[in-house]
Amino acid sequence: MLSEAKKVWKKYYDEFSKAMRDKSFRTGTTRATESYEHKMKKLLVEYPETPELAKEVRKIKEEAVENIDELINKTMESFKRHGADVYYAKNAEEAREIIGKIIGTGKIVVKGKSITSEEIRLREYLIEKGNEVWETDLGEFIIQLLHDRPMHVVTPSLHVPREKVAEIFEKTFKRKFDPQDVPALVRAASEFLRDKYYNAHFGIIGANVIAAEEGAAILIHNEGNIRFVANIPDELIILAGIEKIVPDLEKAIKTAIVISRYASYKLAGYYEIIGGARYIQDNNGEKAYSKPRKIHLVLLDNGRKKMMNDPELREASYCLRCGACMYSCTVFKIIAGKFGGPTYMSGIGAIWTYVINGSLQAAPAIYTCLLDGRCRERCPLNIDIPRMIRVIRKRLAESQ
Amino acid sequence: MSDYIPEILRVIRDQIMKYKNPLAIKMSSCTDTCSGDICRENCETIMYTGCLYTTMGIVEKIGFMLSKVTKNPASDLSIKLFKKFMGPGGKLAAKFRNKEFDIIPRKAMEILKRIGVNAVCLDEEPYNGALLYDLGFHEELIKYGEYLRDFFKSKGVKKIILIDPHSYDVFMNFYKKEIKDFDFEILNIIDLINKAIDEGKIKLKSDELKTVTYHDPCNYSKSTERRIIEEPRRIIRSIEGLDLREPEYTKNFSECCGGPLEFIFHELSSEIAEMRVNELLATGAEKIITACPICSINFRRVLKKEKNKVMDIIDLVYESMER
Repeated sequence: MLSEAKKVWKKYYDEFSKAMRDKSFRTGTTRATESYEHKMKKLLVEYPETPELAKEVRKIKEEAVENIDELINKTMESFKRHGADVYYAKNAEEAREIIGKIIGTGKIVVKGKSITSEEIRLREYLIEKGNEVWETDLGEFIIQLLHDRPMHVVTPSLHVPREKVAEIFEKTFKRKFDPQDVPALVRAASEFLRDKYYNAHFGIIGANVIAAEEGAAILIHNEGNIRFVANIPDELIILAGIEKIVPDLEKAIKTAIVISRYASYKLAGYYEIIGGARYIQDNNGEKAYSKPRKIHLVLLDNGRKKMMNDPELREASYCLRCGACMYSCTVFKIIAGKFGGPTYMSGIGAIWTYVINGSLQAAPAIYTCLLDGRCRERCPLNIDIPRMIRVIRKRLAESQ
Repeated sequence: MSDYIPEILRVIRDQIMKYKNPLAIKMSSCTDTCSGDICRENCETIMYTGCLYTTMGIVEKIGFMLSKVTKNPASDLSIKLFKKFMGPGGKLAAKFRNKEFDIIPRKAMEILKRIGVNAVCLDEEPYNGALLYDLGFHEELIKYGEYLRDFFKSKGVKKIILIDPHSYDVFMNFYKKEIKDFDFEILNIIDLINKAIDEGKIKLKSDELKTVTYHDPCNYSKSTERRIIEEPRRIIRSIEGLDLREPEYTKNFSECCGGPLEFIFHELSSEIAEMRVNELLATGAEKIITACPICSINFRRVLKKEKNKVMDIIDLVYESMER
């Protein structure tokens, strides 16, 4: 093994071994995965039509990926029509630069949760450029305070039990918290963030789905924070991977329902459909905007097209990021997102890591997969993750 | 060209290619405890163990060494130790034969006799090649499949009865599809027992054992091809006086035993086994029935003194046959 590869393997082994022995890490992970399995079991009984809808969404995603170039163009045109500035970033660096230029320095930025923004290390980049950046999703806020990284795409701080949240909040807010009083913890975070929303110059959000025809971003959230991020600051930046695009709004809504169902919600707290900035024009032609005054859409490739054009790995680009496979993964139940790459977790994350970060970073995760297929059984789109892990193992073996 | 794979995996690959066994033990050790006729040529119908029971039996016995060698794939020491102990000739490994596992193929053969299936064991068995398949050594797997084909043909084999899920997986889902002229008829002992039960050729009764739970092997329960989920349950339910209890996560949602990580992240593998054992024991059943020797050794390892709570389905059927 190359010394470079050895370093990556060693770091990976050390990190997950530490997590494996960390009682608090296990407590959080077990609570989250068990609660997911129970909720999901009940939910599929209550909504037995969900798997049928998921089958339809699989077809929608297949269609979207098949026509991705056309849909990217359509999305950009539609958003432009609404007055948005649109950008296409080929890689992480380009995306950071685009957003960096829009924001500049010395600004206050509030963010909705976006794993795509984690992928390009956006928060760190903007802070380095001299901005004040706050995550407003409670889980991401905890991750930010801990200088940690998300361990799950939907519940990024699932490995942090409330006891540890109370601890970090005590340090941050300099007062006592009772770990059992979860509402008090939530209140403390939202009070702190409220002030940030009203002073922020920019909001940054991701998107769960994008409708190309109408030019709309759909976001699913439970905390209401996205509404503040999207509506209070003057300008809004939407960062979305191109795999989020589907042909039209109806298909986008179906996709959003399936995402939230498999994230274990009968109905999520909020579903936002963001079209574009709206304004009222007076007789002199002057425009009065409601907020946000300006929307910027940044579409990110960063390996996604390569994945879509690879017949053996294309299926991975259908991933809805509902997180179902992660909660259901047997390895994940022990080491959570330590099974994965720098951003993406578990089996599907190992595949994404291989495409986005390359063989070196992906190798340990690729060999951590059990190939048992429990993820595929749970995946709403029946994405055959073990098959693709085998494909990548084969490629790694051949590259010797 | 770069190289991203830990050396331990390449050593295992090389041993399989060279010695036809991951532990480099002699091919004759795989069937030397089989009862009945040992066949050298013109062996039309064979029972093939994939050498899995013998090999995993040894893996269990040498676990105390293996656990140190296979926990950290980035460690150089690991690979030196592995080569030294598991190395050429498998002389050391061969000293750790495990009677509790060696007896299973023998019992399988007794069951076949009882249900009127005429089969023999070969005088020697190459390993089934499943690790090459699972670890992605595709080029070698093709060569190995061709070797197996030629080996079976040289022995005059027409029908192969398999008794473990890993052999079944790699035979049905790879060799039969990818290897030219791999035209043997493949049978599974689980199906043969079921058929015998339906035809009234075998009656099963449990005297002392009252409650069991069944652990689905992943290759049977979550396969994208044929799934073997109800068949083992039918066998267990047909045993008079025995109650089958389902764990919380079962059938196509059953959890893995952790076995696939044994040679690379040994501790993680054990943590997974422990989690699954706890789920299975939560049923209150006296015994955990497995259909795969890899699951067996993983569960037995974490159960330590209570390792006898794990029982192979072949063992269960054998012990439930009328004497």
